[in-house]
Amino acid sequence: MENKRRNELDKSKLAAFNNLPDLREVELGADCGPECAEECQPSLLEIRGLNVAYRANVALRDVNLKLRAGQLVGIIGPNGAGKSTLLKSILGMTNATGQILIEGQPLKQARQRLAYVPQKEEVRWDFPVTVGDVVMMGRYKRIGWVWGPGKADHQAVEEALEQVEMLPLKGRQISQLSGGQQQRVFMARALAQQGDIILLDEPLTGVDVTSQEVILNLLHRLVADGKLILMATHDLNAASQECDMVVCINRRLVAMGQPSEVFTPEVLTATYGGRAITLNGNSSTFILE
Amino acid sequence: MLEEFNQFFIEPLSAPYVQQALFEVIILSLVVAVLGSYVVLRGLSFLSLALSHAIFPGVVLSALLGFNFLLGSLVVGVVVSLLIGIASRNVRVGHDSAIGSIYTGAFAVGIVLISYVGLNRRLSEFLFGRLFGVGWDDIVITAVVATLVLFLLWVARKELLLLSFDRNMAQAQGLPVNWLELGFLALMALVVVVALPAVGNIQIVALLVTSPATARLLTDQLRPMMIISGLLAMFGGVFGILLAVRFNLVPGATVVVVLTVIFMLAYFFSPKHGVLAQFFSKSPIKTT
Repeated sequence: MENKRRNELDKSKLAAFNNLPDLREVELGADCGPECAEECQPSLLEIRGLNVAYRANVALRDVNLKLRAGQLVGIIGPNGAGKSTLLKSILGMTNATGQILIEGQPLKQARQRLAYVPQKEEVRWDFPVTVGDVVMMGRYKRIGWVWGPGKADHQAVEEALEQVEMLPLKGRQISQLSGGQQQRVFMARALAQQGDIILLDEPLTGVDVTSQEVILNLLHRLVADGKLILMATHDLNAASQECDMVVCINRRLVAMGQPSEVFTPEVLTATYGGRAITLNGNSSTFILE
Repeated sequence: MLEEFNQFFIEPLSAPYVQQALFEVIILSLVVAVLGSYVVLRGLSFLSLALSHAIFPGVVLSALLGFNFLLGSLVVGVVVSLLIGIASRNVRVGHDSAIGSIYTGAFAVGIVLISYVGLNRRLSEFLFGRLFGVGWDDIVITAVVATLVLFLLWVARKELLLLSFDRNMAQAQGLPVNWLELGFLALMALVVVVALPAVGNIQIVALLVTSPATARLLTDQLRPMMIISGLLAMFGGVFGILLAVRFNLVPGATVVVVLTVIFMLAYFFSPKHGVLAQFFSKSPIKTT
């Protein structure tokens, strides 16, 4: 019984996938097609032939992406699909093969232009540092070895904290923050890095409503300023409502496009496999995670 | 009363062997205050314990072959660290089992060696040191190494802080995280090896781990943690040595007992993070 149902699901998944328009090609083509001369800015971030494997397990296979400045790009996919891996690979933190180009420059020469917000669960929040200390960490690479932070660094930290509405808590120990405040501190640290590509790993998970609003407003302001933001997220509502572009991955690039193009039963089924259930004749799709 | 005070605190100070022991312990306290705080925060307590035992065959071999003791121990320390690193890459073994099996193995090799050549006295020296046999030359070497280690920790203070708090971010910023981690282990090994002849391997671990762990119970900030940890190590060292003189005890072990008692007191009575404080506080620990 169980198996039979799974078979059916698999078949429908396959069918859906076969009918899927290849949005990758569409998007890649759109970047340089003659009809879009106006939109055709050079891509800020380009990923070519990215492959990542952890021992025998393939985490990501042959990902190709071109992304322009001034966009909020959501990365969606089921658990273990490689969302975090994609972000980490862009930062050169995995044993990936392939190329990462930032305005044509390899990562090594352009690392300063990337800012990163890791998952906040990956650090120990009882570590004995203050909010200001954590945000200052975003400046360390600029400051370099031996030297201490200068006036400009302190100013950048205060501005970053102001932007996430956390300046009054600058001197507070991080062990005393709520989940949402922790996330805002991490956001501020990324702002202090002053990169023009910002990579966010699950910034909306475990975050209160106020903090979510602060973060989303900030992201839109940054996009309006011409930054490119990549946000890995579980929150499909946020991805569909807030993002300009959505990338669906499941160990490979499944689809990419504007939310209206991507949030279709076909694409979601192809991305989430058996975890996507479509009811009422394709009118609504649920993802079981 | 005054006479007792004199007898306990002042009289021993006139003996050169006590002065030298105190100097050694105070210098070590300064370096372990900083180094040990990072050891505790980075979760390397077990590794420091392992490392301090694992260099034992190095001590024995250098005594047998007439090598410089520091060199022999350092070489063995590096080899053992590498072995631990390689073994823990096997997921089935894991980090803690790798440390556990390799350090006990290395320690046992040392014991087999000394029993073979009949140098059993070396074992107790290794474990508890010869704090009352410290010479000025030992003190000078310790001071030089302590200065070097403190200087290097200062140079990399930002990078080490970021690495300890958020390794992902350190890596994302392009810091050489593997080299930093290795470098930190090397500094730890250096301090352990230099301190070993004087205080023995048990007390060096107590200095590296017990006093910073006590300080961690007393403060939420890094710099005060380092300062408190240094003061505690100094107090424990001095008080332990004076107790050892007065009652004719093994000084290294006495210092460890003092440090452990202070740790237990903080564990129960720390105003904020002690067991009692948490038991009686009605409000949740996390405030927003």
